[in-house]
Amino acid sequence: MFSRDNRRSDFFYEPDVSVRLDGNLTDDLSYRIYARAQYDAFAREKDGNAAVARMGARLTENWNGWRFSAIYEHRYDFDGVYRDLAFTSDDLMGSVARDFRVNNVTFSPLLLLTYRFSDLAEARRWRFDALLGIEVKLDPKWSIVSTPLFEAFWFTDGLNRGRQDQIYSADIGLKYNFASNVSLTTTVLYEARESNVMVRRYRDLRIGPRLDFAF
Amino acid sequence: MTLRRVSVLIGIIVSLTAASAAADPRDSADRSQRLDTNALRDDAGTQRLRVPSHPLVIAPPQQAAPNAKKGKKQKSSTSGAMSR
Repeated sequence: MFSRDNRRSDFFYEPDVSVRLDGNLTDDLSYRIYARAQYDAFAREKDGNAAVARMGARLTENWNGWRFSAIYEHRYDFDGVYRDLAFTSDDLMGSVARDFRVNNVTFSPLLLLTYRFSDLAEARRWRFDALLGIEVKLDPKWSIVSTPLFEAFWFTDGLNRGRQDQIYSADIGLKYNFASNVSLTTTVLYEARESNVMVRRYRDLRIGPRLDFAF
Repeated sequence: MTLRRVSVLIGIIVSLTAASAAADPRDSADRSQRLDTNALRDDAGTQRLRVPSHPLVIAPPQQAAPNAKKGKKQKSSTSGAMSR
């Protein structure tokens, strides 16, 4: 899916599979090596289909409850569901995060800064994310969840040189934990993108369930 | 260096949203952005899922306790078992 000025409603599904290898180098320094595959498949607007395959490594230092991470990710972006390779990229990321618990509420703020190197000039850019995960536990099975998110993009090359986007989004959902490793979340999400390129502005409303497994 | 765990995460989203179509190198970059944003949201949503124990989990090595303490612990454990 992408944004131009002829947007239409559609159904889509998005499988997302990650394989992770986690370990510790010291008591406070942990690492993760991962591979992840993810795609969007639309019911009618097939030109919106897209897929990504990524491999990465992350180092995380724990300091007084804060998690500082440095991440390298190599990725392949496809048009269609793994149909045509659109571009390959290398992302360098730095993030800081922590969890705060107040009674039955967990707040998980995250700040993330990324630069993308890519063989497609239009994909090279800085990206900044500020996210606040909120989970209100109603009982051991049910929670209300929300993830307000702010994203800012500064594109540096090609036809996108000088383009600046900002995306504001918020969602609210009801999560049911079938077990400690399986959950179903139904959410309503509203997203607004501002840009100094007029056709890249949009508003989006998304409604649907998400099923997560960890094993 | 210790290997803590191997895990697999699977998420599936089914949603109603808006899509549009055109051909431009900028569009591939924009589609990628949507997947990245969803991946970030997924990470926030799945970080508290707990991976259950299974054969792929390699437990961290137990710290060897000093002999004196070990003996004391065994004694305590035995007495606990006897009291039941």
